[in-house]
Amino acid sequence: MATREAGKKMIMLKSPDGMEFEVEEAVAMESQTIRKMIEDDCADTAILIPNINSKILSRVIEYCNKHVPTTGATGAAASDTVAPAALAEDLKIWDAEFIKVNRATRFDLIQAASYLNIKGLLDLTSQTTIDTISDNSLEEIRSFLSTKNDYLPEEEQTIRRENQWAFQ
Amino acid sequence: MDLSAKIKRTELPEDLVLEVLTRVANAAALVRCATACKRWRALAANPSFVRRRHQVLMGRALVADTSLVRRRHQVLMAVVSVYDGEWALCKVLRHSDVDPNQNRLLLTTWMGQGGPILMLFPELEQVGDNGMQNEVVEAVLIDAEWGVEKLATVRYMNANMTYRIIGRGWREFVRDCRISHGDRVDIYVGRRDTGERCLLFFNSKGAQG
Repeated sequence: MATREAGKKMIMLKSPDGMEFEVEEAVAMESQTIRKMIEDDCADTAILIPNINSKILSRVIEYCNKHVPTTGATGAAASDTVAPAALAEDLKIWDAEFIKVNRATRFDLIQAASYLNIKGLLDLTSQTTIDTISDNSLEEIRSFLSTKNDYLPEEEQTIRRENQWAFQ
Repeated sequence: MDLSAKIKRTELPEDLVLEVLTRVANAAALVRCATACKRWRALAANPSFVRRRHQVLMGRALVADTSLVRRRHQVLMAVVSVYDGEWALCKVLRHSDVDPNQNRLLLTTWMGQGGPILMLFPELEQVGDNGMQNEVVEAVLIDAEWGVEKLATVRYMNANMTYRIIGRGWREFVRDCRISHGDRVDIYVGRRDTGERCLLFFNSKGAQG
């Protein structure tokens, strides 16, 4: 078990393209995947994060930095002292700005959030994606999520007819 | 030169597409997404997806829902001795649902969250020798506000992902609870202390005109 010093314990995260990010342990542990590694004592030096490039990893760290329960000088969690509603509202606004990225970046973030097991980030990225396409037509949904239409024209017609209410 | 053809499209792996799809709150949008290709249609009809989506949506509702409506429903359910009633789905009723000659209420898994129904009636999922779901179960239909209770039959048809509530019980329920087309009904599932499995109906008259 990693011991907690009086000062903040730092963890080194490495992306496959060779960049290194030094982050507080508490921030890194927003990721359940990394938390497990730290708790299993697999994280003495640096943790290599495969499949997540430095551009995406830095965004993920930015997210975790914002969402980690911050500790004040007394060591009390800030969320205990700041009005929770105000804090939540602040985070919501921050999240909305954070997720203003293009489609490719958002997909990368979804995959990173899934691999690193960061529930809040996975919720945010998936929900934003589905909200983006919810009002779209079938063709736009196919294009956005890159899936191929494998129905025969008459099969698709039948499905559309049976579920007409969803296509109006 | 068509440059767009050269740009490699980022794709999501299938499990993450599902992760995204579980968050579709709007039923029409889910139908459109599920119509995108055969694989998604099969995935969206899978009971495990239906359950997962229900968990996601209910989790969100529990955080966001501050309305008193659900609490009122819970109180009314306690009046008829159902203490663990769980919201399953809602529907704005059509003519065919309340037509005395048709004698049936049609519910599709698209309408949201069929999950709790299958959890309370797991035998509905059993597939018979002919590859069809033949099982029917009895359920008590309850309208706690009107104090009406009727026995009816429930059936789940995997082929078109629908539940049907059938039989004379449904017709009498419609009549006695003054249910008409255009009404929005919220349906909860729950078990009485006597063990009877119940479907509880809450009718929001005129909510949708």
